[in-house]
Amino acid sequence: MSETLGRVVARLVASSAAFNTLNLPPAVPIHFHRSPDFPQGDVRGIDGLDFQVVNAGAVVQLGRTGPNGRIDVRVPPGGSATLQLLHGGAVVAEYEITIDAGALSAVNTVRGQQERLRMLGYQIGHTGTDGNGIDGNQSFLFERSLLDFQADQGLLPDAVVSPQTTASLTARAGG
Amino acid sequence: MPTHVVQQGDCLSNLTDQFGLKWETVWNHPNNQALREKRSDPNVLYPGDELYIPDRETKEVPRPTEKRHKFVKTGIRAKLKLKLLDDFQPRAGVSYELQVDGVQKSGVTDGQGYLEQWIPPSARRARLLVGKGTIKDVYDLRLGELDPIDTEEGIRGRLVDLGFGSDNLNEAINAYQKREGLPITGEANEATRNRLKERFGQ
Repeated sequence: MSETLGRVVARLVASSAAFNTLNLPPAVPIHFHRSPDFPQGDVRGIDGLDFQVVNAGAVVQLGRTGPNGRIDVRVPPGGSATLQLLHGGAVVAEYEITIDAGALSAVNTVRGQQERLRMLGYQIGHTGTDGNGIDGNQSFLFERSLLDFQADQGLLPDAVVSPQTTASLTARAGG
Repeated sequence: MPTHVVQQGDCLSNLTDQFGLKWETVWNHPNNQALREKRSDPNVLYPGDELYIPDRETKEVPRPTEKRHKFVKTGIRAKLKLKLLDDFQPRAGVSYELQVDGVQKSGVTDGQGYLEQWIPPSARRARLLVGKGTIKDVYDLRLGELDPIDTEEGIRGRLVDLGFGSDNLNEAINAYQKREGLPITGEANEATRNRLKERFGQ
């Protein structure tokens, strides 16, 4: 850890009435869920996940998820926070979280559907400029993920993006 | 010796502790008038500032021999006073742990979200954990490193503490101005600096 990290505050001399403020930015709720039909019903949150949130180079949140699998990540307006999942103290997964209404593409585009399917854990391959499968093309893997998603949600699995499918994608992944 | 050039992390409380003087003696010395005018707040100095350290005065106290005499050393103490907010609302009655120099203190914030603890003047780092249960907010504090409001580091430091941490300073200023309902310029103009100082407390 570099010496430039952390929050700067004044050390106040004895007579001073001054104070320093530490404010938490707004919370962005992130849910970690098991695959839709496991074990069953709504008890799908992954508990006992160790995590930390890093902002401006410093650890700002530290903890372990409860039974709902929820982490309220504090994300600075105009900035971003990094959510890291830990196992035995080592970082095993990392998510960059930004507040940006335009960060997710519209749900009626292939791109927007791919982004949401990927967030929900469906395997959509490694095509596209970022190598994350988000390329805006209706590939075989995209259609298979869509079928899986529809089946998991109890929708008609036909790989056709119906209004029910987009509504369900938005409800599950946001945006 | 008598002029000390301020380094990052120096402030009046740790310097005066180091030289064995009261902070008032140093700050109010005539040779520090220029510095007093430049930095209105003795808690916020900037690297490169020159602080005159007067010599210690010798105090003579005649006392008879063959008797026990008691002298009390005036301690120099430094304070940490923080206001904890959640999206600008006070975090009242939350429990916290403060670790300074291997000593752990705990407490609960008051009705306005304030916490106040005495700390050793020489301490440079502290870790504050807020909240109970399995999830805590972490603040790694760099004590005495707050820079004056008219420097870029001073603006950035206050913005980060207020939850506007961004790699890009102009974007952080934009977001702060938007949140405060100030004209959005991306520049730390006078109105922004004044609001920042008032909101941050110093």
